[in-house]
Amino acid sequence: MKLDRYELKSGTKLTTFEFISEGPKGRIPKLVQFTPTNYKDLYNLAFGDKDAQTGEINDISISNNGDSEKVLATVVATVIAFTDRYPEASIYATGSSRSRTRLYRMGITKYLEDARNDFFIYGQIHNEWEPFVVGENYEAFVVRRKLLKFEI
Amino acid sequence: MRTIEELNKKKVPVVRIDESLDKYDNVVLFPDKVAKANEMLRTIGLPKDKEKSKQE
Repeated sequence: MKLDRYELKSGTKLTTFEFISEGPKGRIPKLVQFTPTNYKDLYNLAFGDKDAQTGEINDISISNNGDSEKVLATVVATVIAFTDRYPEASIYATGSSRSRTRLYRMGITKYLEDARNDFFIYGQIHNEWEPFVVGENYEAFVVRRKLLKFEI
Repeated sequence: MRTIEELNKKKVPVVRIDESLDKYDNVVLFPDKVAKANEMLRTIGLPKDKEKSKQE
């Protein structure tokens, strides 16, 4: 059975998510966490591997489990679930390395058409923010849910 | 009844609540990343609303 993304588990507040990456290296638990920053309604998105034995988290390791697209799709799903619960939230994300940031960029590009309907997406380059453009080598990203507007 | 594949194609994903994950509520799992984010945002701030309006 081929799934687009992994099954997600979350704590009751929908701020920490867990899923299991499955591939040639085995089953690797992953944690995604949305953490408040010093800015109101701005959360940092980070994810990494959880050591099944020790419970320690590692956001630097590259698991090479042959499922990076599925992992990315699952992380995108956590953003949707999180902002569904907290629609006023903005999310900041950057990779723990250039290659991880590039992976984020590829992920946003892949889901861009769909994502633009529901999110404002910004990229940070040369210490400035700009609306996300495909192909730019951004260092970080901010996404913010588009809120429904009702006119009476 | 909808299949798992159909449910997974929905925009808002199916998320199973697991209260054992609540133990992370007050734990910052990626402190370096949060510190880096705070430092970056202190330096350059947040995207401006005018950029937001361009995308509307």
